Amino acid sequence: MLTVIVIVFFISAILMDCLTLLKTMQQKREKAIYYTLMLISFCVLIAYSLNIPVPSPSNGIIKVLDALFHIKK
Amino acid sequence: MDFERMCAMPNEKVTIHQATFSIMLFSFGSSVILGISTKANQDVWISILLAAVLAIPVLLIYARIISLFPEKNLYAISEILFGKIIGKIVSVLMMWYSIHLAALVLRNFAEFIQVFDMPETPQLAIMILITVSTTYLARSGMRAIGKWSVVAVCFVCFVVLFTFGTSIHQMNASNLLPLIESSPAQIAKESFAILAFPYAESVIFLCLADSFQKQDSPYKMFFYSLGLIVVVFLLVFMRNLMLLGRAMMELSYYPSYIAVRVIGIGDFFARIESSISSNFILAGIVKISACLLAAGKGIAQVFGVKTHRTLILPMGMCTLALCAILFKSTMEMFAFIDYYLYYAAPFQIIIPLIIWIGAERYTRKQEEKGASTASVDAPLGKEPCS
Repeated sequence: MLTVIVIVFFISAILMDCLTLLKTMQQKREKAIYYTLMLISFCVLIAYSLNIPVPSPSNGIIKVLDALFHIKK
Repeated sequence: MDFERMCAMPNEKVTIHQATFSIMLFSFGSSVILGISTKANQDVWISILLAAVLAIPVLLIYARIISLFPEKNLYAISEILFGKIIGKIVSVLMMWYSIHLAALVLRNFAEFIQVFDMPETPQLAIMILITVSTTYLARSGMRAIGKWSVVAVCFVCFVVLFTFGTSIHQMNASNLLPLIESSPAQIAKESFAILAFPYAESVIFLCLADSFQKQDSPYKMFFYSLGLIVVVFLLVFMRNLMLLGRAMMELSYYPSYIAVRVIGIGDFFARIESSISSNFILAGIVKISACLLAAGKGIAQVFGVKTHRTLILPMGMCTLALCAILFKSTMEMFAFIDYYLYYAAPFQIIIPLIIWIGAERYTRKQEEKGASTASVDAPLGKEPCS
């Protein structure tokens, strides 16, 4: 169910953008950034919806801060 | 208004009132629902005031940067001061902070709504709905966020005053005692925590400073909003503490919501806790939208893209993806608050401090250059009247 929600959401978002803002995009770089970011977020959300574990940046941040400041009680 | 016309619109500026209320709601954002830190027990009010004092030099730095470079945002300023490469590194760091902060607030939203309102609904569905509305607001520009803030701040203040007023008869003032039970070190630590979350989070507005009008004083914007937010926080904290008591407040993850649940006048007036949810939504939307707009401007600056509007949706999607994988549970989310002080310090204090020092040196050099050029040009010009 979640996977369907993610797919429908992305398709409708890109379609909406195609009808409105994407027409105004003139630089190739702009399009490249747009589609790259959309693809990355789509992959992460699909993995999340399929319960495929994706490493969280919070764990990395916590480990680094713990090593530096010994915050853990 | 359709999006194509909106894209063609020039850079929109906000008025001083819109900016002040945006900063206020931004600070109010998630604190309204997560509650102000309770580790200093009933002495948190001292920490709130001390944090406000600590916030003064930080906000002075922010305001000084904006006044030295009017109508420029932090991304542009860092490129002017440190060149393209270091400037872009600074921009990437601030952009990451904007996205991460937006994802954290979005997660707070989703957790809260799932815990209290929709336990059966998957969090992702809630996150998507909020992402759609905040992305739309961010794409509409800073002026739209400002206008939204002016309307929302009236409602937010009304709810705070209303819940405070209607709960007075149930308050137990002895919950405030004993005074200064916590150690000075504990109070100071909590002050720093409150400084990082939420006072100094307004660093995001340095990334949106190009939307401020040149004639508007950034000092007024930051300090008026600080004053308002301190008053609101004190009211919220006093209400929660006097209604719930210290032990209950420490135990609850969402003290404001639980406190307002207690309020009842006779048999006919009760269950007004939904007003707290609406406060959270109104203020939280401002916070996420401002972060998305800052991130969109950042990525446009880093990659040299002419307009940031087209990149706000992908940034919103990245925020959504980040939000989904950030924490596994509500407990994990609350545990991260302990680390947030240390995590946010480089973005809130160190980067602005370096930029401020660089900005002062840069403007001094420019003034010296201007003065020497004027002295060289003087003999070429007309003789001054004697």
